[in-house]
Amino acid sequence: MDTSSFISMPAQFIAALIFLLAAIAFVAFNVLVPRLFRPIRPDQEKLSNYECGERPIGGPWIRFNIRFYIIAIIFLIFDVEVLFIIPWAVVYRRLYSELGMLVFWEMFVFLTVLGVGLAYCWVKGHLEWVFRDKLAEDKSKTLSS
Amino acid sequence: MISLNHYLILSAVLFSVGALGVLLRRNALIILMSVELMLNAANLAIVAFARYPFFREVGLAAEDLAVAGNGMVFVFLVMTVAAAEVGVGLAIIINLYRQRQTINIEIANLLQG
Amino acid sequence: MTSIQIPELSFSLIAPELILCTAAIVILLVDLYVKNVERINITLLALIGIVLAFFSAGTLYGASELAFSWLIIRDDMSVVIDQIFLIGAALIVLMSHHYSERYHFPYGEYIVLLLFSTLGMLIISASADLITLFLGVELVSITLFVLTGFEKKSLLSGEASLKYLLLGAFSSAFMVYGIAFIFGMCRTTNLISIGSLLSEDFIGSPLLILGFALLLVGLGFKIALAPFHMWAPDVYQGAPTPITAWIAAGSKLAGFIALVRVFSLPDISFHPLARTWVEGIWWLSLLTMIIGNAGALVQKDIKRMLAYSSIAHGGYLSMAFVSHNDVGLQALLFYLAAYLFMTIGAFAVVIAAGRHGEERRRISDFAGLAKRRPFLAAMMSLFLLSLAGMPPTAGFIGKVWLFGSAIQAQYYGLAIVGILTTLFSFYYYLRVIVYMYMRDEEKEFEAEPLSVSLTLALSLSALGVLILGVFPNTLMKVITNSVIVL
Repeated sequence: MDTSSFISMPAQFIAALIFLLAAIAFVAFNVLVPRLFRPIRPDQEKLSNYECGERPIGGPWIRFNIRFYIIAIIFLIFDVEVLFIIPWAVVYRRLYSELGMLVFWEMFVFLTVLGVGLAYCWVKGHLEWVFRDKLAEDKSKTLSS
Repeated sequence: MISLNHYLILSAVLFSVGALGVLLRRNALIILMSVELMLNAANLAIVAFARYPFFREVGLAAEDLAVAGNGMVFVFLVMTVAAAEVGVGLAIIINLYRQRQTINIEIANLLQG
Repeated sequence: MTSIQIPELSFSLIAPELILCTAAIVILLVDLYVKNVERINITLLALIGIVLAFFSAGTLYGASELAFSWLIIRDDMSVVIDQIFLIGAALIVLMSHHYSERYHFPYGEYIVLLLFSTLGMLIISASADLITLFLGVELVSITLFVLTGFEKKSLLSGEASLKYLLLGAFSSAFMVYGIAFIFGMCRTTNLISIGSLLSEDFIGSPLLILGFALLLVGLGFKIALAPFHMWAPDVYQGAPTPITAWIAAGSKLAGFIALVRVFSLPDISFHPLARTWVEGIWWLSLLTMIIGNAGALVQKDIKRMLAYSSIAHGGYLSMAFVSHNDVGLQALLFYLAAYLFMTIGAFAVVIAAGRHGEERRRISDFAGLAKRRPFLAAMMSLFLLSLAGMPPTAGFIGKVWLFGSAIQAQYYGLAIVGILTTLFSFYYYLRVIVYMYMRDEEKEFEAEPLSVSLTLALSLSALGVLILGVFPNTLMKVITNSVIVL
């Protein structure tokens, strides 16, 4: 690897920086400049939430179902595992020539353990959108019988 | 040219902001976010140390690549641990909210000597 | 491009860890797919896993090796500590079996988390790298956060787990930041390499000292050393009692072992850095002994009292780092083993004294216990006397050894404070015994009968305390040998 290019890498980002600044300037210009010229006459209709032309029902700041948080937590946990899988995938070919199937089996074990976690979520019913509380169902069955 | 010190100062500032957040805020979620900020400040320091071989004057040797790898792997693991911590943390906070309809840690204060 | 070094994979060296991990996953799957699995079966599975891990650790004596690119060290010290951890875990499983019958919480998941926390402890004891050390500490912490909040209906439990989580995560951040500086200065996270770097004429840069200081703060939180102890009484009080015992015994042990791995690097005793942290730990130890014992004097709740007593014990134990010699390290390991038995035993009695819905945790609730349930009262007295340090018990020998190491290293002041605070501690330990034997109970209380599992846990801990007290030589010999190998 050419070491000098590795050191001076920040220099290559200058182009990206200029692009970023230009983008921000463009948006800022288009948002701010018309504000100076256009008339501002708000009324009830204009201030209401836009819901495809329908009359809005309720405010946007409602409480979310708690299920969103559980899905979010599950997502968070499984999402991070990509951190390990992508570097592994990048070097897989090179490592395979030296270490053979060991490279594959290491990731296999890792994914199996993850799979146990996924199975856990699945069986417990946390992946189904309509959550069925199995314990409560069993109880109600025994009560009714 | 941005030097190692810049990164270290930034990470120190972020770490202090996070620590102050933990000590001053009363909302459990915000405290958790502050802790995340502290962890990421530490990550920044590690990545900066891994990136700048400051004991050597010129160039990168194979050894430096090994050091960089060591630091980056550690950062990956810290990120994973942080995600696990947040996952557990959110669950605990939801549980607390269900019990008391608040996540203010001053109101949740039954345990006293 | 550099060629990749093929890491040596010696799975036999981490057999205890692998067995425990497999056991945990098997239990998780059994609990998931087998319908209406009996709790006793889960307990038995867990115990089988622990026993297998115990014996596989036993076969590793004498192996002094580094494995997995120097991430894992397998020396005799790690084997001894692994076995101590596994005995503790078995006792906790037995206690949990009884306790979970009282409060129907999801037992399978509980046991799985318990086994994973034990796995974290084993990883700490075998870590030769700051990365593995950090992962072990976090595995212990995160599982314990969940376990602390396991009584979902209980307000106290939920609040305790939140406090534990926030402060635990806070302290992990300090740990990571400390490791970052150590990594930056030494350019490696390997403890052996750091040790040899520091033993050479290496710059004592302020950042390096800062790194070690931050790491000490982070670990100080985990073992509740004095300025960082404020979470401990609350968490101990709110957590389910078997988990309280496991935090007090296992997690504290694990924290100390992490400190041993970091701060007793063999080559650096003469480095100027060593003086800095000996001084730091001197202050922490002094403060912890005083605050822990003073706090315990005024408690009305037995779990809070035991929490402060456990903080105080953290102070005695950290004396070993001040004396910073072989004797100190040996005394530390011995006292940790003794401490594990007596703490777990005391909490087992606390469980046995209560029943569903009425936990009887005030100290005054123990009045008249001797008349009603002489076995429990005798057990409690044994554990409390051992915690106080009375002669025929393990606590006495451990304390003498520890204070002796401080005296040998000429830290007379610290040793004297240790002895004085120990004398003070007799007051609050004896108070409970006085309540049990000399007061009458206030109102009739129909207790739960002692279950087999709890009786087993109680008698095993009592046996441990007595054997270590009367015949300490076996463990002493093992420990002395293991520390010399180190």
